[in-house]
Amino acid sequence: MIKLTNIEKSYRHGLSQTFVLRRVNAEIKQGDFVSIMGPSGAGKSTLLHILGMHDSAWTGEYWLFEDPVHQLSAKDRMRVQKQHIGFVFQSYHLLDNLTVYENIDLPLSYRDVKKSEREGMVADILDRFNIVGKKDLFPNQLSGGQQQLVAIARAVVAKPTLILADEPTGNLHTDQGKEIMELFRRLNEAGTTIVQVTHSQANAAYGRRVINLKDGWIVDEN
Amino acid sequence: MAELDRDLPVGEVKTIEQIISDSTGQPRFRSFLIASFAGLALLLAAVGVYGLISFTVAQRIPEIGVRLALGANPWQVFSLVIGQGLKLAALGIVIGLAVAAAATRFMSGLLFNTSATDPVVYASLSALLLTMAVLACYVPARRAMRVDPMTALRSE
Repeated sequence: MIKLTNIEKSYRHGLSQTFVLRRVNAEIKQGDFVSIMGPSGAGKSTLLHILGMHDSAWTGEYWLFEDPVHQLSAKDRMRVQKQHIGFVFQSYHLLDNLTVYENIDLPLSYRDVKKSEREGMVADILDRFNIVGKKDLFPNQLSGGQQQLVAIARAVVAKPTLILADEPTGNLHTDQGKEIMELFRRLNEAGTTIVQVTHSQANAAYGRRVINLKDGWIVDEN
Repeated sequence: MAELDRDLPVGEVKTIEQIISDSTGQPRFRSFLIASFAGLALLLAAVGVYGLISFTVAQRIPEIGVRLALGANPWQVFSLVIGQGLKLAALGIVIGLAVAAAATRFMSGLLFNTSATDPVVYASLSALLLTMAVLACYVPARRAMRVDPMTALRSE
């Protein structure tokens, strides 16, 4: 599903160059549940944002299914991203001025989905995530766990094949974190490929594989 | 005049153009002043809309980053910012039209050869204000289009 070859990212400071990622090679199969681990500054989130196509300033080869992401134009990358990827952020990134319903509807509003169809899809997700009663609330009226639940609902509403989660439980209480990880496990069992960045061994245990990064290099893969 | 009475003093010799100019000078000056102030008000309104929209765009950079990360294309972000400016301008125009309509009684005495309730004047001024608002929003909207989602997401 994903093949990365010699992915590198660096910043120039005058004459010197600081590498964030060095010769990253990895393969992720469809249905996999991969955890990317490593100390702060290892390049975990950078790698995730490259996979999520939020970052385009890198070199190397990135294949997603049959698409050579490294060769695609910005427009085509956006098309591939919308077709395959859902993203979950550590700090939820819900829009404060939109209700739960509107937040979940947001990714669909940027895709060619008819309004009536969108209503059905959002209603279905609200039902699946047991948050129907919260659809008219604003994010600041929800707990951190509930906000992350909404953020995951927003990530899966467009039925992505790949979910990328950047420390999804980083801001949550342990119990709320467990609930979120259980949810990821169920999504993975239903066929969604999941790649998460985490500092937690317990969260990594929900996945099947761990990629360890250090100073931008993959140091261990199991 | 000299043929009639050569001792008759003749004062204030003026051409007909000068006489017309004297009689219309004051209203013409008033009109010039009012037009200048109206132009200045229009410019200030445009600068105000530009400042406000620029500030709002700067405040909304994380939100714009999230929207881009969720699949919005830059033109959708552009429309979002222009739409916000147009809503603001439309609200201002509605209030302005209501105030102008209420002031017609006082204005009609100052007007010559035109009506205080001329719909063409109202429509053309509204169109001019909307155009100014779009122009004022253009630069912040273009700036919003260039937001890098990575930087925006990390800035929060």
